[in-house]
Amino acid sequence: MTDRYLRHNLIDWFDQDLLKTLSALVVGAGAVGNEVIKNLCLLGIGTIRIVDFDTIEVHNLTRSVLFTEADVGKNKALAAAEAAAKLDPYCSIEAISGDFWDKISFAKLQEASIVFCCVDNFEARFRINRMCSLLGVDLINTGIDSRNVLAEIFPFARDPDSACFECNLPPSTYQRVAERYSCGWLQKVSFEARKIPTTAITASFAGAMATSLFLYSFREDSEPGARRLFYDTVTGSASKVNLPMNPACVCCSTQSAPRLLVRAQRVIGQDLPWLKSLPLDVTVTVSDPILVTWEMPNCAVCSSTAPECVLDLASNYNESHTICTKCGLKQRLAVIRDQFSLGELVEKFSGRPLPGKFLCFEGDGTQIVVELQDGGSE
Amino acid sequence: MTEINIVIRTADQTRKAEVTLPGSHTGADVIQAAVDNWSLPRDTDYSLVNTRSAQPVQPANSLEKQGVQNGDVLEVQPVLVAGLS
Repeated sequence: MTDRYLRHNLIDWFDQDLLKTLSALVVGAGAVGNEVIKNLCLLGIGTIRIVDFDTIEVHNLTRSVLFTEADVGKNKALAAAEAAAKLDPYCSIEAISGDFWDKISFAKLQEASIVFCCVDNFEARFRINRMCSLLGVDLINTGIDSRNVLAEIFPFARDPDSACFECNLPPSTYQRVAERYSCGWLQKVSFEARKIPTTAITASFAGAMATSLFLYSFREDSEPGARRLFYDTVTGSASKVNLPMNPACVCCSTQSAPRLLVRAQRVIGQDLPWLKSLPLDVTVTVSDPILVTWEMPNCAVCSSTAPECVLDLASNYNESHTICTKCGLKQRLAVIRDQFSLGELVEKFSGRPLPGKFLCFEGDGTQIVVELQDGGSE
Repeated sequence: MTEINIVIRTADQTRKAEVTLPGSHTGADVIQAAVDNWSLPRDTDYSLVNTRSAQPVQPANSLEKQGVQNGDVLEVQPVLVAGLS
């Protein structure tokens, strides 16, 4: 065991014992995730938790160092964990097959010393960033194309006033995300995400830069605040950008301190005892857009009928669901919201499960964040 | 109206222009002009970075308010989103 890290021990600032106590959560076990996991194993980190819902396709093999042809069809997290265990048998590795948002509880996220965001879309990045900034867990984000690489660190644990991932995003990003949805904020059936070409070269650079940011962040002389490293693998030009906090950020500006984190069953009513002590006009914000009702305002046949109550995640529906089940016309209007008054929740939806990962509200100057859980879990 | 002389370039430095702009122009104006004049891919988002201060130039605010000075080099960087597949 000691011999394994003989060369690391020659580096005066390298704290192998500290590294062995740390835990990393890698979200996305694709090209960059593979590189990050490989580096963490070789460096000798203590624990890695890997989460991914996707399965390996043959075209992934040109960029994914941990996968072989025999892995095609397997879950990426499971296959990456299997290969990583061979790289370092002393590392504790857990693979989680599924979506980060569904599978990673607040407690699991808080167990991580660092979260590596190695996903391929903005919506997943928004969610990972939101969780990390809310819970104060350091985040490293990565991104690549066929020649450029970026790695960004958001040290929420050491610097609660650090900028978050969304603080410096251009507004065009949100317009691009909105293209996935119809004007009623239901997912478009026909939307096809853009395929971005990447290579093993940019993936390996991203993995190296991300792991380096992590490793150096534990040095006493590490730089404070959020920052981005940007590298062009063709010209070799690099830049470092310090990322300031944005007071108008759509994510972190709404997260006031101090903050209280609690857990509760998601059934509205008596199963939410923490609701009883609050005024009914308090505004509750749910983490996910919720399809509250279907309404038929423009249908001559059905407009007189009462709206159909749904109270389910809007992400479970798309444009095809706007067809009225009664008259067959595509005229149903989806009422999607993420804010409710407490009185409305109790009055209209008592006894029903409130969908979403968590909800927030202000109480006595404190932001209360309630993680919603299904009965009997954890 | 204050005018500032700056250099705008792409991250790969294959495109570069020395321009004089009103200080009231925003970061978004600069990005849009770069995309239009250099035919940069329109299906990509871009951020603008002041290489002197190592700070991003916010799209919504004027160059003047963000401390952009004569001689500054502003780099148009793509916002990279891939990494998984």
